[in-house]
Amino acid sequence: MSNNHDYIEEFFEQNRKEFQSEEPGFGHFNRFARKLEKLHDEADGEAKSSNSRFSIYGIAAGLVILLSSVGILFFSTADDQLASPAANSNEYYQSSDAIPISSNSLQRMNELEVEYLQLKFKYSQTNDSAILAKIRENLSERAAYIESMRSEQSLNSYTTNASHEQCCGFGNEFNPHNQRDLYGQVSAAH
Amino acid sequence: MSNQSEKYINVHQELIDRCREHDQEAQKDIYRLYYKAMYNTSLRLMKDTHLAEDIMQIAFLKAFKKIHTYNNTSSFGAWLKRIVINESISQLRKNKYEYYTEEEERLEQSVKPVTSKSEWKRASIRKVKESMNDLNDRYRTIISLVLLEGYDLQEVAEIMDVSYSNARVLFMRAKNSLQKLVLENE
Repeated sequence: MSNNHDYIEEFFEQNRKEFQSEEPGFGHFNRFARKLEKLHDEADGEAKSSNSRFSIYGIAAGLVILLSSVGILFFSTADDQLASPAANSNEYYQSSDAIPISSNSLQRMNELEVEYLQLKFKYSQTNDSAILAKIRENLSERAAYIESMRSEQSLNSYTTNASHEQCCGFGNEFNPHNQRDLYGQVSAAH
Repeated sequence: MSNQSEKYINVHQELIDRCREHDQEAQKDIYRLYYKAMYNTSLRLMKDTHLAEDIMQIAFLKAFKKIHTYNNTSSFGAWLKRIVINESISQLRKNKYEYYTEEEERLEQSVKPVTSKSEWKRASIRKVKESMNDLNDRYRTIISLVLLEGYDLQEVAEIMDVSYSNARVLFMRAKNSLQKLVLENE
């Protein structure tokens, strides 16, 4: 680079302060304060809408839990009512209608459901991988519960059927309420 | 700073930390401390006082929104200034950034550089400022970034999204052009 370029650089070096002397227009601070206020309002608005979204999720989760509890209660009552006339006269019904899923398991499932929704909300806010790991844990715990409830149910139905076979046996064909069709269902004898 | 992992300790670190917590008063204090430098940077690039103020304030708001990305590897002022410059250049591009035409290039090459130191000794600040405003956007930007903001050509190449060799040529031509205009305005 030739020397004349250094003169320019020297000039700017010596007069740099002069190039920093301009001031923005009168009232610039107030204008900025208003913009800042608006920015904070927008941020607050976003946070509020997230909260309300979360409460909607909460209500939805509550409804799902309530409906599923009512459903379980309804079906178990209906089963009881269907079984009761036969139960008086048939040992098979007496021994096989109850499926013992513990209330503790259901309670825990409900808790896990709520926890899952909370984690999902947090993850959407932060994208934190630690929360994602917790979501995975939550889902695997729920899967394990479902699996254990399923096996509990099949084991229970197996043992009740087995005990019935022991007690009454297939050969009890003389009892008119104790006839089975091809699918193992009990049907009233004609 | 030689070591990237070294943390820069700012004089106003406490204010910066409060800004991270969205403290509005701290944000106003930061504005009061830095507005003048940021405004002058923006004004040199934009040439228009209203636009410069707008760009400067938008840059402050962006900085407060993204303050969590400031990791103290440079001074807060340098980080903020980079946002102001990026915002200004982006605005210039939106307003049909003046690109270098072949005709301009031919004219620039015919410019005889001023070799006398006395020419620059005589040049008044006002004349140089006026001449800078007559430069095209790219020349004005590069002169401003190198000679007034203190960026090196490698950094300028990155900011202006051109290659290093293009930045060097652009800077040389910008200085020639400025000299010509200063002489004409005498």
